[in-house]
Amino acid sequence: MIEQGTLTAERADQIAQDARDEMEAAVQFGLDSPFPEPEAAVNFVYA
Amino acid sequence: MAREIPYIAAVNEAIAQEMARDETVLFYGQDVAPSDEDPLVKQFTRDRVRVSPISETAEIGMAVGAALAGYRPVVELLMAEFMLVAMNQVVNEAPRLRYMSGGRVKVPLVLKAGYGFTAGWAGQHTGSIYTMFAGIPGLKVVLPSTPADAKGLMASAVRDDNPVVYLMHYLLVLEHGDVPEGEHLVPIGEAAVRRAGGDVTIVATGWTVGKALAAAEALAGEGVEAEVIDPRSLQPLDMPAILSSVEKTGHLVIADQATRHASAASIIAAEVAEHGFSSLKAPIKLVTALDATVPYSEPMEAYVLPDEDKIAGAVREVLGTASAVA
Repeated sequence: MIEQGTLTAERADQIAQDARDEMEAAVQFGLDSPFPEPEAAVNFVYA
Repeated sequence: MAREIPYIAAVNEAIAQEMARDETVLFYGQDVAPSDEDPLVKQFTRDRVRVSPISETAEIGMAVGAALAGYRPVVELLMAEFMLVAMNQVVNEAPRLRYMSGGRVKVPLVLKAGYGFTAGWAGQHTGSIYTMFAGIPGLKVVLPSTPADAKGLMASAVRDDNPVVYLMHYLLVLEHGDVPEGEHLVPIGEAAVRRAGGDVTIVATGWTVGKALAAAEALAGEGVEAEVIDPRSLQPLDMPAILSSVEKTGHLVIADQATRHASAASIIAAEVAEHGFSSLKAPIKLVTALDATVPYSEPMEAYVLPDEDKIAGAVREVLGTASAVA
């Protein structure tokens, strides 16, 4: 895509970095969050 | 001569011994012996040990065809849930062809899979869905809970002339136990009494057998002697063994990892209610998974699953000793 001019190397790097940042933030959010209440296990079985 | 080996080694030993005994036994599946250096491949060649493509429909369909042609295929399916994409082959073909041919053909095959991998594997790999197979006439379903039974039931499954769903528990595969070295057969449809006792019967399936035995030990400290029965196979189900224990104890708790309304426990309870009602001194108590998909989060997972405390609590309830302990 870079060779064909539809994507620049800078833009490709930015997409990769954005994806990494998003994953890092999600992992950190998970680690920082308390465990859910056990009783929540039976939520959302049916609408 | 018995020696201690892990459950998973006992399963593999049974397959290798059956392949050595009978050249019509085949073994294939995803990730089965990918290297030509694998001992099974070296001993039995690629004619009989194969890696198959990621298509359960093809793998099980092929097994049905091979079985009709006189072979005894053992198909490695890894997770019981993976059979769901091939339910036509599992439900509509393998178990029904003998019946629909008026007994003219037989379909001897083994569908080997793991189940109940409740170690944070979340919703689609942790189910205990054996009862849906046990409800299909023509299929046999076995749930080995010890290394010796893992070997003996696999050998019997290979020799059985019917399709057998062989479900190993992924949390048991590294458990060690005494396993006979040579030929070892455990009859399909024969329950085992894991612990004798006269006060209450605990019927426990698969992974919950160990939990029931731990509960029984705790209860022994309270003066309660529990009898723990492991049906080992759900289809056929050894109801005479269960009924005879209930006749002796008058009290029944059933532990099962499946969701309550699709559990082996509910089937056993119905049978005892119909055929052993006069023996019962209290209502039957079921300790099953809750009717929810097994969640990923550890405390939520523990909340939905049976465990030894829940089993012991149920025993105290049926014996009317719950308040005394609390």
